[in-house]
Amino acid sequence: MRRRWMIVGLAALAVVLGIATNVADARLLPYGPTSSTGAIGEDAGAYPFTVHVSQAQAAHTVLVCCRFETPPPTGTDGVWVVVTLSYATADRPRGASGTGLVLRSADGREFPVSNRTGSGGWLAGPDIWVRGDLAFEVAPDALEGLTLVFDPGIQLYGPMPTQYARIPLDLDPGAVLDVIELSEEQILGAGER
Amino acid sequence: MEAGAITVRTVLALLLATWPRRLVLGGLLLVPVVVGALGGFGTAEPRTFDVAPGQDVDLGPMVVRPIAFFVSDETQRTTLEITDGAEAWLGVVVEVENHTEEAITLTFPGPASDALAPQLPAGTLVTGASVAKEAYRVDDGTMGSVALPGVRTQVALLWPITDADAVPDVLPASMTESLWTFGPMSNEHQWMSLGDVWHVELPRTELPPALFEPEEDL
Repeated sequence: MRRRWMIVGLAALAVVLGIATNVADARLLPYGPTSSTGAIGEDAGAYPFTVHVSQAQAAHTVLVCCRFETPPPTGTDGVWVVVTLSYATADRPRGASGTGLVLRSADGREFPVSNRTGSGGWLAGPDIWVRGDLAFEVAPDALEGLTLVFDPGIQLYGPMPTQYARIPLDLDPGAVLDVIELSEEQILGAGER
Repeated sequence: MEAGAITVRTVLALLLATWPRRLVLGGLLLVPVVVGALGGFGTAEPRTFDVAPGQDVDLGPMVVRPIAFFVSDETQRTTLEITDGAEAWLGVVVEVENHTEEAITLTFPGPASDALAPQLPAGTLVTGASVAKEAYRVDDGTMGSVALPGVRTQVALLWPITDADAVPDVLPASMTESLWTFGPMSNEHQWMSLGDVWHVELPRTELPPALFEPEEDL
């Protein structure tokens, strides 16, 4: 009888130990993505980047910049959202890759940087801020409650906390411009954003 | 043998100790017999449907509306020139609307998509894959390779072909119900065909004007 209770006890202990390990793994150990929420006009950390969104606008067409001949405005079946932002890094020159840079709608849909305007992020250096425009195409019903997600997606030193920035854009679905001219990337002076 | 050891005999004795236990066990053993008597598990036959051009087809991750096809060498001339063995483009005009939460690449370089596969004599398509090589928007001729969530877009899917005359006047094409899933092994999104197939007979049309590219004078 005592032997049977021993077996039952050991089995229960194994289950409890498994659950406890899972809980500790998911909640207590410091790795996996953590978000920092920023705002327009503020610096937001997404190590090794620091991001600063200065403006976000919606439009029906965009005018692609920096071509030899300016093409006619580019339309979309959704709505264009142009985000003017600058960023710098904390360690070495890096470019913001396209994949972790999306607009997320309130219902979870994700819209990547459009591949139809030529700009998908640029190089910035340690404390060297570079500003430019990123153009996204989004569904018309997603305009309200859009958030810019800036996720460097870099595993720097193995299992460590990785940070990504979320910046709510506060766009007004009623204020959609006819056309936005995309501006060229610009290296900023000290203290500028 | 030690007293209290767990053996096959003790387990059997435990399972068959009372009448309720015996009934449950007997019922479990009868399940295959009952299923067999009712006709057994059917094999899941993929269903096939015929659709008319211009009709919405829900493939799962996206709705595709096949419209028409064209054959032309007057668009994307440079790409056509550098593609070995290509004589012209086969273009299929479709309207796509992505119903997932993430963008879907219509021309990804991974395993073949069966979202829309033109049926042509063997060897006519330059590549063996059924996935289109290029996709451009019918509206303005700009890149259309990404289907965004909730944005309905009309694009021309382009396949390079070896012989423009081998394409019949009515192009049969098949569309397969699919999943667009993230493969943790390949670390990328990929298509997985599920089974149901739609057949469509596409009428021939002209090259959409926005896609026309004049010949360059050198």
